Amino acid sequence: MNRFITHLMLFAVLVASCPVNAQDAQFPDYDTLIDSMTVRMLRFQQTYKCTTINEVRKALLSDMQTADNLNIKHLPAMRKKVVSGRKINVLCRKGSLLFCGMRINRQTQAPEAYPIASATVLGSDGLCATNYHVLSDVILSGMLGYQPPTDMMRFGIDCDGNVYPVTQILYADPVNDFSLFKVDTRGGTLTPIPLGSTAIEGDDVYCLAHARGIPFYLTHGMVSRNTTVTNKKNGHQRMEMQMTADYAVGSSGGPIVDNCGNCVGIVGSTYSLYANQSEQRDFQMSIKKAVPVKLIKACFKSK
Amino acid sequence: MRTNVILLFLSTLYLQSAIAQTANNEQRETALTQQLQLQRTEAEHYYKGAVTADYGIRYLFSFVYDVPSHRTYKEDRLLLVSPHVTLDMSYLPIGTYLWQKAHITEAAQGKKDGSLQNHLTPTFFFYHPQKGLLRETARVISQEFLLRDTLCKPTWDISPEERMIDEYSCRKATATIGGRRWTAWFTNDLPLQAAPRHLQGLPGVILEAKDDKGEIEWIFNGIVNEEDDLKLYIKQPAEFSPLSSAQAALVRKTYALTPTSYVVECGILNTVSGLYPEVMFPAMGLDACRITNPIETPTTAQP
Repeated sequence: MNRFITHLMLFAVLVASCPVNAQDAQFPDYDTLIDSMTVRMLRFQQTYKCTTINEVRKALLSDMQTADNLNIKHLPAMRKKVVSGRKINVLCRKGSLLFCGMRINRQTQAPEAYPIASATVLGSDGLCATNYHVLSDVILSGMLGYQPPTDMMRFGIDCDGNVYPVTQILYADPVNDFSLFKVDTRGGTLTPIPLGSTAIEGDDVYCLAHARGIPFYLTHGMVSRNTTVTNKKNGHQRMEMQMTADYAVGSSGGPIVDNCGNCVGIVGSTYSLYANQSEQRDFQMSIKKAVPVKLIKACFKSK
Repeated sequence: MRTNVILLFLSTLYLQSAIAQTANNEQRETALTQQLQLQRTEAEHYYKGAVTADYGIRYLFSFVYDVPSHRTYKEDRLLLVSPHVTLDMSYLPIGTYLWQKAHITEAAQGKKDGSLQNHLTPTFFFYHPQKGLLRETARVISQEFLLRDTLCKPTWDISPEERMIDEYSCRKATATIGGRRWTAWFTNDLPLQAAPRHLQGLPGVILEAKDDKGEIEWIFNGIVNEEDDLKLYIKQPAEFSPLSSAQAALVRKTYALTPTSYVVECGILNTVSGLYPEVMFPAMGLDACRITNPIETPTTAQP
């Protein structure tokens, strides 16, 4: 009898350890998720007193200066086990936020939320990364004390529809195009994607970002080239991880992960090659340029 | 007969389009002329009570800001000369005005003085000869920043060597400032005393200055005189940004490294009304460059 119970328990453990294979395929209604953004954000705002984006602008310079307490020890440990694409999706899904804004519609005078880009969760306490160009409007206007009256919020929304308003912008690197910010978790925790090691040419990479109108889109590819690009006009150098995993407008700031589910970069930009480049005719290839994780890690170390 | 009708029809079309084009050009020229007039009116208002310079000296400033890669920055600078204060600034605002006035047809078609594009550093060096005080300020969009006050009285060795620069008889002088050896050519054929940046203290007007490594130079590029519709104002900012020097440095750096299109998109220009002070984008000038070969300055004075 004891032996039977032991076998039964072993079986139960085995089943529990293979949730991906056991679960049914899900077909979430993403359009409804996007359509409900405004209501979700307003409900959050009514329930809690949350930070508006103009308050973020107001505190921007002091927040960016006092970001010394960012500590890499507070970030999750790197994952070591190689897993399948299915598992990557499960592991990283909650760590990839759809990055949105909310403003007063000039015609209806009603608040409306709108998707902007993507963001990567780095810390369970709400630390996230996205591109500089995603937050540049807030950063630039905030630095000179301008607070657009119709601009209300920036927030992330996860795959379950939870909204997380941006509370602080901590760091900005215009050259390498990334920034770090914090969101309001209401005392809860987010599911971060651990920072991994620098991926090198040939390494498998996945991108789980939110191309315009196509949220939570997982693609797979490999690192094609790591390179440093020097701006010939001003001498500044930018590091790029170029890769084949696909993404498009809206994916900016989304996570690029390795085959263990560690963040090895964030989406940056694309560069399209045409046979006739000047007239942009006869499309040949699109190079995907990501911000390598090395830069994000260096930022923590320098703090 | 039919061919003639078609030809007549086509000629009429061409004529109509030519007339419309001419009318458009005339409209644009009128609009530009009005804008230049408005510029003069606003300038008179903004600069009310400000000192006017006796004349200005145009230099071509050349600076190897990164020696290993021999990256060189060039800019048209203007030194405004008056008895009690001189101002070393970008030539762009005055240069653009003069060029538009002289090339009204081309300017109305949206053409620009190609030699001036992307050569604008929004730093201003006010020198008070009686006190030996050099005040360095910067402008980001329309906000003024006080960078530093420096006591600036280098010791020059004046040699008997002479040469002509344009129509002016010049004498040679040498000095070491912050470890860099300078050679300057100054004239007494022009009234008062003046020099670019920190190369002050000579009994005349510097028309050319170079360091001994050939990395930095100011080359005389003509005299700018006051005209009926062009006053050479020297106005020190009435107010400076209250930000700390570290915060101001962060603002300047961020703006300098951000593409101008982002600055336009962020809405900060909505805060600017009127044409003065001129909106300045650090990204267009030396502030955007990765300087590894700084121009040494004398000891900072007590504020």
